[in-house]
Amino acid sequence: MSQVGIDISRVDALEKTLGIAKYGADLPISNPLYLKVVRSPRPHAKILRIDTDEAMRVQGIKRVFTAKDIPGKNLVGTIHKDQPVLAQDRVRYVGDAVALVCAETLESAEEASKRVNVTYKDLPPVFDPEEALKIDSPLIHEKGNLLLEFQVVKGDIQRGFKEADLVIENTYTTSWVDHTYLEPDAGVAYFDEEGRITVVCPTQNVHYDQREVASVLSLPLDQVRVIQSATGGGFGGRLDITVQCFLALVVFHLRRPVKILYSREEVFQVTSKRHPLKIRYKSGAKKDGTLTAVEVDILGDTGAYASYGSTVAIRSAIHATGPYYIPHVKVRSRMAYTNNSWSGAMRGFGVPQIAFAHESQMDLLASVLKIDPIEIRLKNALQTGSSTATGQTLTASVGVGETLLKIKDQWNRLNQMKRDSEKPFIKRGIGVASMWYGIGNTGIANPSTAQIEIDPEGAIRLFTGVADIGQGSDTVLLQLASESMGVPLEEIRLIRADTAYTTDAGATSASRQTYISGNAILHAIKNLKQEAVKEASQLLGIDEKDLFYENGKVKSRLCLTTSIPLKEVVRRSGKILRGEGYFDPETTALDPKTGQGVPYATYAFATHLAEVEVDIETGKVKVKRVIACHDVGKAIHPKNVMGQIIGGVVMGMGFALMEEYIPGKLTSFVNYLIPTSKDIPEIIPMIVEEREPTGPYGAKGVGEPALIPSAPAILNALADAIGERIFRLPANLERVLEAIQKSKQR
Amino acid sequence: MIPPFEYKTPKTLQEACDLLWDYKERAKVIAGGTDLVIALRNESLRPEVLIDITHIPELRMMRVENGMIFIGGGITHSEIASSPLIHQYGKVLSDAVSEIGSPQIRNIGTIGGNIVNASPAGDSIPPLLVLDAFATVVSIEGKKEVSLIHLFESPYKTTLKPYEILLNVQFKKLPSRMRTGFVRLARREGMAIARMSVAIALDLESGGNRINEIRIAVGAITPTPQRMSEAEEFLKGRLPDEESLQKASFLISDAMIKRSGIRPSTSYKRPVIEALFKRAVRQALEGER
Amino acid sequence: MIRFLLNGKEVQVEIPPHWTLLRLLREGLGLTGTKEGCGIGECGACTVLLDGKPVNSCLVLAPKVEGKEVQTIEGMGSRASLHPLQKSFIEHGAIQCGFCTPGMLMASKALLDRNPQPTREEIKEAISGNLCRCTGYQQIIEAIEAVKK
Repeated sequence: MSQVGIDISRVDALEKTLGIAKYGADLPISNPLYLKVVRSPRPHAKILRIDTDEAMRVQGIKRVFTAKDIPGKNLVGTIHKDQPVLAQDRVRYVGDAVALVCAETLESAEEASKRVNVTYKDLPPVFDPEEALKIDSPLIHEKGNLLLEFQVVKGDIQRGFKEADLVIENTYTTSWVDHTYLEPDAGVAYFDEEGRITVVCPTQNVHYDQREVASVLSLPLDQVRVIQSATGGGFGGRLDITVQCFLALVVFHLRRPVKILYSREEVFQVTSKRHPLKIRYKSGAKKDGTLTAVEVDILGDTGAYASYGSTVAIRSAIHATGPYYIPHVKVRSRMAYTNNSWSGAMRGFGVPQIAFAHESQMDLLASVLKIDPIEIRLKNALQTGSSTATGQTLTASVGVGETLLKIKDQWNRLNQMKRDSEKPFIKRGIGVASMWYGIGNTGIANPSTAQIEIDPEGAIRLFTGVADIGQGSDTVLLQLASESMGVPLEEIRLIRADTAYTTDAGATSASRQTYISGNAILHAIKNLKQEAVKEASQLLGIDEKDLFYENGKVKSRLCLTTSIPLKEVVRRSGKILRGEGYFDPETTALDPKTGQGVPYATYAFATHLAEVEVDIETGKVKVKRVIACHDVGKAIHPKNVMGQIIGGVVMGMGFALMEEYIPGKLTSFVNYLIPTSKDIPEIIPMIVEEREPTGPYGAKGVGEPALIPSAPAILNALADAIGERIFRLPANLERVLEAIQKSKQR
Repeated sequence: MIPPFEYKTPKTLQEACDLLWDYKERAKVIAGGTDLVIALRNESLRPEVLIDITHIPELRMMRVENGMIFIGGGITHSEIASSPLIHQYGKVLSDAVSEIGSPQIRNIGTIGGNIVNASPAGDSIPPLLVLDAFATVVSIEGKKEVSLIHLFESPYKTTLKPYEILLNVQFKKLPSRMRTGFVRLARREGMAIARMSVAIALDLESGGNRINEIRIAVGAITPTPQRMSEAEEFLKGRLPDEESLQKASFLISDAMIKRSGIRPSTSYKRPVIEALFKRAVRQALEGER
Repeated sequence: MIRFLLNGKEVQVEIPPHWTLLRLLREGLGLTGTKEGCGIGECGACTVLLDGKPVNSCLVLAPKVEGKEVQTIEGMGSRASLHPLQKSFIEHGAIQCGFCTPGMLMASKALLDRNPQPTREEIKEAISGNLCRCTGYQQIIEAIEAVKK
């Protein structure tokens, strides 16, 4: 192995370090029109009138667009198309787009946007998902406020609890979280040289964007082109449409280049959030710690629009058991519409929320049963051959036990160390948490495609629709290609995330690109090799079956010295050789009543150990150290994997301790706090490689798993420190102090 | 996007006073701009003219005169934090300003700006209050000295007239026998507004251990920055033992409630301000000064 | 007319006073390496050096740079000769999405220019005004540590 499992310089790093990478706001465009969106200040209202007269008198104004200017379908959405580009006749949350102002300068656009006078008639709003599901609740969408109900049923839940010696039940609540990708949404659009409406912006999926833009404009796909600009983070927040349709709509009507820039406040207000979940969790276990049953009820708030709400409902239900074998399972998961900010995909799709619940429960069981937290997890951990809650038998690459064993040494060492601080008001605690995470979309086809070609001059081009949003897929996919082709990485030119040149690779989400698109690329290369063998066979006059491809050459099986370099093959044949690649993980649809089936082809596993110090007089929590052990199948680029783990731990720490978005409130970086360099613990990443036989060189995924055990490990450490558990995230100053006061009253 | 305005850069105090007199409410003074530019951006302020006072030599001076320390209104937080003079004679101020915002903010934000912004959470204010600081205010009408405590009217509002400039703050060199403490609590370690802060200056009886004098100021828990005179009076002449400090801490939380009323946050703030106060006193007792 | 030294070269520009330094750099001079992440001095993406000190260019009004020296990412290094910090960021995996990178590099450069041997705590302090959402900071801190003289 020369190119896989090594830390090469990332291919995108040089341009980023020089400041020449072009993000959405940096894209060069001459003489553009500027856009500004007029947004609803009301959570739920009918639009009676949109008066643009005053706006049209602002100097430099070009036009104000409203829903009636949309030539195609005025609804977008990743799964359910229920979100208007511009509000049709009603608004459903504070921030809904009502009109789009277009002017010669940004100043004019901003000024005019304040002079669009919208007359609303308020409708009764609903902000609580439980209220929203009541029979007399105001309807947010005509089809009703229940977006989806999903169940996982396995075994006999009654029997499971009857067999238990201990049953523990609690309710866990999580908050809205903002992705806080550092680059505010921005972009440009224009007609390209072939007359296509071309949108360039940060995104996680150019092909989805292309389909939505075409549908909104009622244009054939080939008249719309979407190109991913350098993208300053995503974390799921750029899976949905942000600025794409606005930009395209104006180019469509005015046939001029356009530009849009969101302010940070606007990003907070109008982009998706992590779903707040309320989780009622009941666990049963025998005296020896063996889990017998779990019954879970999940209620989520998807806000005004569906986005990935159903995915979050389904994924949190499937993962509700945690990485443990449990014979009797019953999960009900519901997702409700409200007039809150809309929730969507965010790193983990509901699994970070559910992991907070199942890992708190594991510690509670362990504590009552007086079993070591690691031992109770090891006792129940999934293994090769285990059956999951959806009845899937895991056949390989089940590394949760291995991650627990690696953490166990550290745990024992820390447990023996003196735990008290010199400061009387500081209490120390340690905690562990494990997780599992299914790679790829849930129980549906989610293929990726790719092409590779080599021309007679020997130039190699790899085409992929994969959007690198900072996680490093450009580098990893090139490593896979280089390794598989046996040519140096520098010789392969990557063409990516431009719908004019690349085909659909699916979204950069669900930790799927290394596994799924990596496999698609390997498949393309396999086909290219066959083409090379075919050509070489003619050139050499040797039968195809006697030739094989190795290390950039076609070689003869019969004669060790007979070989022809790939470049020689194309040079002499004068042809462009191509390989088409396709990969779709093997999954099955899930039974609609019981959720039984194979939702994912493979799972990633991890265990984190967190050490915290709690100031019992102020409720301030300092995370001192996190040891994060991840089974990734195979680390193609270990430093990238570690970067994902470290970044995930810190994002999980924010989720655990400080991040809470409140819909309808003006939010900026002043009141929405994410960890700074002074808040971070020492993080020790550890990699376990339980090879996934279907993965590229054994790889699975790590992007989302990195975050998932972080918050529950911190919350378990916090409970260890103060002797009281917190059931609502974030565990901010007030909640921690309240728990401390409660523990003192005991 | 910031709307347009004119920009004046007076080179002398006189020139600045004249300009401010001419424009009055239509003008705003800019020093570092770390608060002002945000207000311009969100259009909560729309001045016609900005008057940049950082080119006036007097505003950029830090000096000692007759046992008094003078810090020009245009001195940045970084300059204060790194000043040996302030470290020696007003360490409580160095400690506080070195925790303001971020290094970037401290490099341009000024002490004058921090004061006139009059935020209940302004970090430089509690330490200045325990240093018994005065502000020198100038305008076309002349120069006057105002006790800092009288500068604050309500949250984000000072008693300054629109045409007045905060020239400097001044305080007596803190005598070497006086010890200080500063404790700040925020929701995160870097770049966060203070949730609460306490500054202490403490003088113990020579020979004995009783408290000769204690000055206590709190930040972010009252509408305007305050000295906690009830607790100061109570502690005078007492030993700084656990019991007295406990009682004093109750006087502080009572004063907070008296001035701010009972709020949803009170159940949190009450025990915490008591604890932070005791911590600040302990820090003062343990520290050199 | 504003006159200042930009990355070692004298610049004269006619700019309205309500423009920030950030806008002047990005729109006025086409230097888009300096990023806008929040516009209110809370993220550090727009960090440049003003007379050698890191500042949020989104909070500095353009007239404030008259007669001063401004350093931006564009003046830090080139493809042919990277600044040691840039090299170290690449080698240590300190770059993911890269949006915080220019500001982070400027803040680190200011630190090393004045304190070539910083402790880990001093490094954390020096970049505490620069938010990063991808890396969790650790590899950035390691990259800066590796450049200590």
